[in-house]
Amino acid sequence: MTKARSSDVQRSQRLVMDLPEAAGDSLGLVMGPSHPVMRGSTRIVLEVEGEAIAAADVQVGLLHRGFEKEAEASPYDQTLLLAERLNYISPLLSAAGYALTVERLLDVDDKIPLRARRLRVIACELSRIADHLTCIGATALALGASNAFFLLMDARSRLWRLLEAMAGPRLGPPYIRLGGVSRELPDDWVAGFRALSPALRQTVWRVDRMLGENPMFRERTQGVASLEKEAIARWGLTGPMARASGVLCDVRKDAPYFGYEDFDFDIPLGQVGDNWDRYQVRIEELRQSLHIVDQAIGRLSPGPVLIDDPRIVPPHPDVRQTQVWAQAALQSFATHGPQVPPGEVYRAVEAANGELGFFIVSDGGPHPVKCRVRAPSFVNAAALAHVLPGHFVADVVPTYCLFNIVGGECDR
Amino acid sequence: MTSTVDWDDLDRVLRGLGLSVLQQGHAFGLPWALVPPAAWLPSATFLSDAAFTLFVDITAVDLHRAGAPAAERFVVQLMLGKAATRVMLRVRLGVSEPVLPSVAALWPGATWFERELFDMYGVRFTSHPDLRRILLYPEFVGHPLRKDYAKLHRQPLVRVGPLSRGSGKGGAG
Repeated sequence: MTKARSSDVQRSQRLVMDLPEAAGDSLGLVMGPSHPVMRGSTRIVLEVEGEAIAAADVQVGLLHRGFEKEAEASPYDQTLLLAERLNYISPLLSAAGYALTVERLLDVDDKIPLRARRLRVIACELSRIADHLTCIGATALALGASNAFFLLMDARSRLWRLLEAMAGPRLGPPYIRLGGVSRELPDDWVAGFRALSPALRQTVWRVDRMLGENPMFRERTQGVASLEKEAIARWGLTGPMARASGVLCDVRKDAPYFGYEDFDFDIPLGQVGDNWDRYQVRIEELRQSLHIVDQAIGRLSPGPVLIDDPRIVPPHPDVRQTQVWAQAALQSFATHGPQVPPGEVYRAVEAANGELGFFIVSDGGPHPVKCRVRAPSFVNAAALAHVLPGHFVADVVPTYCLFNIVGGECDR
Repeated sequence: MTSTVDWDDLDRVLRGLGLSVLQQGHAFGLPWALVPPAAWLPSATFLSDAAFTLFVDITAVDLHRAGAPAAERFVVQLMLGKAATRVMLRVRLGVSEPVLPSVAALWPGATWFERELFDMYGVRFTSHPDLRRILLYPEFVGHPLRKDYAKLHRQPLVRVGPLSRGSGKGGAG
């Protein structure tokens, strides 16, 4: 080990000495935001007694960009760009949630072309797979299983290449649009997915054998950070966090959107609600999501991918070339965005880490009066602070990974 | 469904306490009820007992631009769930002294959301276990989601001296 520079030592001493209430044998320990073992952008201030955590203060907000304030000053279509950047691991899911909410307000959510809805389901489920691969991979790495990590990251990389062909750049893909999706599938895309799908399944199977049958991995996850079934709802936990504790909830089943009711898939449930169950639920959800994508591809029917509604989608370039009104309509659209009637609405999607909800209030003007994001990462981070005391310092990072807290979405 | 019955019972229960629902409505099928601030905690307790165990969200809407009087500027809303059902409990607060009792004892998940509301709108919660800023730093001045906070106003954080814990208890901006 290299020797720490004296200035570093002084700095860390100062950090520690500045901690209040560090009485008796306890010691203050600051983890993150920039620390080799920490993921994301969260700072966790621990009070430790030996290796055991006596108190934990999870501090978020370092990635706060003022999403809600920006949204209140932007036309509805431009906020989509910010929504794509909320959860940077699965950006299409955040964008889908925002689009769904605005479309409800515009009263067009049942008029979205069927092909666009199927494409959205494919995009959402592939994003969920990418998110779960990242989550399990980060956990594996935190527990020393770097071989599983590389397998998962390789799978994610190949999946992202496929998503790039479908949706554009990996960070903030301009794919989900109000009224549908921005582009058709490339010609060879389905063949590309059919080639990748068995490889993904095999990776999931191999990783599950490498981790699930590894006594070290089991010991480090079983019985760690358990949350009882009764406590889940009152903490606001949803998604894989709730399902790992045996709570049956899934927005795709409870309040279906994008035609999820047409698909056949199972909701895996855990029993104890510990890190092991969170891992197992995600492994099974990987399989279920692949199953949904297979079904969605089989049900793709030809048709438009964007709604034909001048309030939401600007006139097609072909029309703009020849028609003066279309040029004027485009200019108006570029300045004011879509015309959203007055009203208020809450809609949610099943994001990779829970119920991602948007609450939007419109007064009929070009900008929303309020655009609230109900971020599952924020809920999970609150529960993390609650669950850490009583565990060991070494449990912090794997637990943090399995709670799937994504800074961009948590801090907004 | 039993959930609808529980929700419709809200007004009857509040009347028993000498309070009442001021206004009721639907936001695209999502029922909401506006209650006076004094009825915030009794209503929340009733809904908690009526199996609305799922805490979904607490947020506020600032009606400053909509011409609301200063005494009724903020609409604070608590969203709760029971299985797939969602309901919203609302209250109107003035800008001079926006104070509400905390519901963190009923739904621990509300702890962070109330901190965020305090951070962003300056709404204070009595008997909150740990009311301090959450997304912004303790030195921040003002509450940025209020409509009279200019969007382009900048407050770079410049800290001189030792790094602090970054979160003094009750660190109001």
